[in-house]
Amino acid sequence: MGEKTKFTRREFMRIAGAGAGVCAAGCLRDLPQKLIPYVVAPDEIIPGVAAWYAGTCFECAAHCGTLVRVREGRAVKIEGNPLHPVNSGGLCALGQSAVQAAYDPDRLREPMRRNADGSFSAVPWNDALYSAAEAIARAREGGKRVVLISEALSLSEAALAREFCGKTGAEHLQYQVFPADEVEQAASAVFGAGVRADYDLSRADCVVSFGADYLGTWRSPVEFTRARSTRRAPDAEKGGTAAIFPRAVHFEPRLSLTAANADRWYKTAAGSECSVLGVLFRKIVEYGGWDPAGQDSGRVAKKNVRSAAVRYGMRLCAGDALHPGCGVTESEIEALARELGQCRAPLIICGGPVMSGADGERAMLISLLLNIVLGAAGKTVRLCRASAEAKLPEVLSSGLSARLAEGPVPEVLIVAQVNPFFTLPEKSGFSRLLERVPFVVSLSVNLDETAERAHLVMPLSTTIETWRDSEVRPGVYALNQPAMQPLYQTQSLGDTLISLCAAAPLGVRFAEDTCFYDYMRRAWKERIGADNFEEQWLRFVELGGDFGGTAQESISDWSLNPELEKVISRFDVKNPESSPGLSLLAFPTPVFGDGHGANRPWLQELPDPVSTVVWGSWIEVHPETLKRFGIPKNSCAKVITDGGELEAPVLATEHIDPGLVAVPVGQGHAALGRFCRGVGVNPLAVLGAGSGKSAAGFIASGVRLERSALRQELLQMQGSDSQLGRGIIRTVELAVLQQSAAVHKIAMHKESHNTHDVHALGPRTPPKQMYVQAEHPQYQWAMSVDLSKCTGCCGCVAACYAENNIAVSGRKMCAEGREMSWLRIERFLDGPPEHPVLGFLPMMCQHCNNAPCEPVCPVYATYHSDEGLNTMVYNRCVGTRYCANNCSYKARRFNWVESYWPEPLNWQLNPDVTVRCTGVMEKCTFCIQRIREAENRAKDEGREVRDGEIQPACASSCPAGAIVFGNLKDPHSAVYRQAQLGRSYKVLDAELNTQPAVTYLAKISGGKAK
Amino acid sequence: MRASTSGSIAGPAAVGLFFLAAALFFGSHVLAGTAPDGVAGGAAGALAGVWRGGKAVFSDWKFTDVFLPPRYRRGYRPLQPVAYSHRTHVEKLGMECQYCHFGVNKSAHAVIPSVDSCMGCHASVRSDLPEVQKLKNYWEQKKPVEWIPVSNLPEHVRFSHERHVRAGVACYICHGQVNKMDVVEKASSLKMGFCLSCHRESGAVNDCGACHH
Repeated sequence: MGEKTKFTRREFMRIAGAGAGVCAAGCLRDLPQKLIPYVVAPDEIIPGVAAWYAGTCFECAAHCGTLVRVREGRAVKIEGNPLHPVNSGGLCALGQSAVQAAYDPDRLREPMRRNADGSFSAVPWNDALYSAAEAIARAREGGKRVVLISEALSLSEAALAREFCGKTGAEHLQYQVFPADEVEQAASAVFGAGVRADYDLSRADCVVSFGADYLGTWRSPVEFTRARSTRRAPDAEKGGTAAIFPRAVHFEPRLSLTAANADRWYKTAAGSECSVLGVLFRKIVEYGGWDPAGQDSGRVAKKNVRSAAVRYGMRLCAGDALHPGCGVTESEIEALARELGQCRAPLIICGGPVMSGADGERAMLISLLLNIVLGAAGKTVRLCRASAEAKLPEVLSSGLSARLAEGPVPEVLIVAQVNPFFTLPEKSGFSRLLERVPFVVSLSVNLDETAERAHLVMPLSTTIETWRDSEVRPGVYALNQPAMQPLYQTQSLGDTLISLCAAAPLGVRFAEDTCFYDYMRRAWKERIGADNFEEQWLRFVELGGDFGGTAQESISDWSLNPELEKVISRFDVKNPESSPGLSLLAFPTPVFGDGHGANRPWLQELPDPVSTVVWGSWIEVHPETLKRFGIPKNSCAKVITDGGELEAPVLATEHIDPGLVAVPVGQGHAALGRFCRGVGVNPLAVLGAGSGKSAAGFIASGVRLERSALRQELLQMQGSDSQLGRGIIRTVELAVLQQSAAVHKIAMHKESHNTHDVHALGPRTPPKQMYVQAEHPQYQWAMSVDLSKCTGCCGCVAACYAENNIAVSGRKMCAEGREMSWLRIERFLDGPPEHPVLGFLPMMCQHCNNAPCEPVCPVYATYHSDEGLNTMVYNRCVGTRYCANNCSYKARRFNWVESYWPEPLNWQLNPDVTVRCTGVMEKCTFCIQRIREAENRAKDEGREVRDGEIQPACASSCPAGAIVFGNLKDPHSAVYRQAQLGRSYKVLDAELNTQPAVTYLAKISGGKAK
Repeated sequence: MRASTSGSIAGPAAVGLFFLAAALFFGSHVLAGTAPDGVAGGAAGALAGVWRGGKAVFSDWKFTDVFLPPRYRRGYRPLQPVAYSHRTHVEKLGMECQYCHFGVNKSAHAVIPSVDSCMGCHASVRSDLPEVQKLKNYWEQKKPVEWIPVSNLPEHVRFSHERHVRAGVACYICHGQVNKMDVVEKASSLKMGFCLSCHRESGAVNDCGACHH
């Protein structure tokens, strides 16, 4: 190299130094330029300190209690209310996503009127109300029909709607996609009107369920999950394993969340559940396991009732027989009948969309009669007086269009908070009817499919912006207070109805009430009584309702409905056997429910618990069926029914009846918003027309499958179904656990079905260490997860997204394996296909003591803190991604692109957590902001952090209470005690010596009897 | 010079840049004092006694001070929408800091007082002053006063006023003697070195995750 081209080191340094300076100056981002204080400071707000408001979740019919965290006037997080009798602190993914409904960028912001060309233009509220009232008044004068379709309303809203209809002459129809009152209907048939039946899983020793996905979507999943898990901790109690470990048996044609978590799942042929139930009934009666002499006196008193129940039941199931291919054998039913007969507290559950076929109603009746026969009625089936809500018009499901078509075409149709255009089948004729109605008013939060076709749209506030109430169950009154001001010019449903009445053309007033709050308060005042009402009201608002439960206790003087004979005689004529062809099932998923929340990005990104599919729909088909129709496995298929056709990627699984294809409900929106438009398909649209209340249901028969030209990838987040013997999820048999409760070392199966590969573990003595071991002077934060309780519902994943400002990466990035979730549910599926053993394992950063990620970081951005945390310093990270490559748990996520929160979705961001930018690694922090907050509080009060004071987002939301967090240095802490249990283990610790801070408790298999 | 004899282009450029950088570095006290548009001026000398008695001036002096936008530099004294004087209120009238900054022992934020808390006194007190008239205008229009932040913390750090005040750290340690300022200015760099020097001296937590999370 010649002298001329020589570039000295010193010169290089000069240029580099100056260049770096210039670059650094150019890279700066600017902070907000203004400090804007309040004009008048509200008393209760200290900027920087969060306020919590108790409320109620209205995402499904369960009405769980919530706590809404508000920072500086904005709701940022929803959690379960620990004091609420329904959910006792847990909350599902759908409930937690309600906060994104409020900040939905596609929300309606002001009333709109549809123009001739189909576009919408904004109108002031007064004009909107005036024109709607004018139309109603005109229709009334002309003697025309006015119809109000609403969701199933509760308490004050229901009373208001009734009054509204009385004043305006409107007809009220309540509509719900998946009927939530099937048990109520059956209970009033069996026990007489005014009796309500509730299932108490916390007292049941053996739960046998038919079709009802009670852990995922049916009735009150959070409540059932919590009740189930209270009984699934045999080693947590003082007496060790003495307590009876409950057993769950489930009959369903596809693998739902409940089937996945049952001790035994029978894959019944579609439509044969009722016959199986009938045969079970007969076997139990034959076996005579319900011998009254051996039971307590309360049961003897009901002897007559029970023999009547036997008589009716035998009549109902007279013609039932097991078909060869129905998925369960005679001997298996016999064994189950014996087990149920011996069981002290059995429980039979039935219901759900699977049971919506021709035999559904009969199955409901048999299940309740069987509960009487087994002595469960009044024990595990709580019977109480039905609440006032039962007096409302019945809740219609797919029969809505038929009911609408009964009279003349309505002159004015008010559609409130429901989307029947989307959720009713094309064939039901709702869309044609909608076209013929001269004036359609939609009260809606988003511009959904129905609202898009309305002439006038009035925007509604979301639940966290409004007052609402509900009677969850008799004697339990839930209250919802607004946690923040409405973001836009929106009103609650109640306020809209009141102001609609008050608008000039109608001009009717609701007594002295000018707003729904007054109306509701007056109703509460009447109920509670006037003395010290104000004081009590404040307490109820603070608590989130009146849980006193004066009428809550179950009734003991129940008897059979004298009309039951008449009801039963309807079923004497045997239904024709269903055709052996293929049928289609439209089923709800735990994440989407009925699909009203599809535009919430969290829900789109959340993997479905069982199939782990994100951002799209799938067709669940048995490989045999695929072969029969000549469709390749990894392709798309076309499902053709009488009502239409749909195309989606195929999910070939052996865990579905070959005579059934199943498509999840919730996706396939053409409107609603930017995140869900054009994603997936809507199976509800292609179902048959409903005639009766819910007759046609969610099963369509005579379905054909065809090859499809569609090319779409199925995004399954779980890479492998099998854990290939790596022992990530471990199971321990109950018998083994009972024998060796005191012994630390317990044989655990690395793979549930592989009995040869037995691995002995328990708390182990750490081997000789090469590295200097970290010391933890005061705290060593650790977590334990009980896999016996975890159902894999994904509530924790949603909580993590909400708490930690995790970016939603979208379909494309998910396809590249670049999802950002800090916490994921590992789902493994081992065992023979007819009886698979599923395991769910929440996997997050394990905060290893010997963390593989730490030594490889060149810039010391991740390190082990004194408190046992594997800390990530974002501003030190330069994005080499060495740590993610070296992580044994795939717990680290890299920001490949700038995260995207279109206004006002970013208003939800938790101000206590840094929003990460491109090029930075991130991962679970054990909710370090909550740790710091608790430590701060403890320091102020001059004490140590108490056990249980810190609840990471995942732990606080877990419906099962499976996650425990605490200080491992404290031998009295719950997390320490769990870590010492015989069935505790750490993932990959024995192989890699990573020493994780997360302890898993092996799943317990077996149950009571074989 | 070696660079010029070599005849390359990079050489003179490098030297030029170096001298520019050096000039900026050593002349930065002038830059810090001279004002960009809308920023009140002030010579470096006038600031003595405010910056921790002049002690912090050299120990807290950083090359990056020059390249940072003015609002991150020490001595930054923007023109506020209302010329509120801390000297008048604190030094002359003896008001407590916490009367207005009420969040300082309760929250991470010290809190900027709301307009109604100013009006609590100024509805009757010295309403003839032009600056008080400005305040009254805000109040009548029900508009907040949009203050310009002065003590700007670098990004990606979490600071809690409550924790520090409860530990007995006096306001002036970071903010300087605000009671002597007519126009509030940034008294210390508030960079990590500044924080850590104090944390080390007092034996406070020295863990990255305490502030960076």
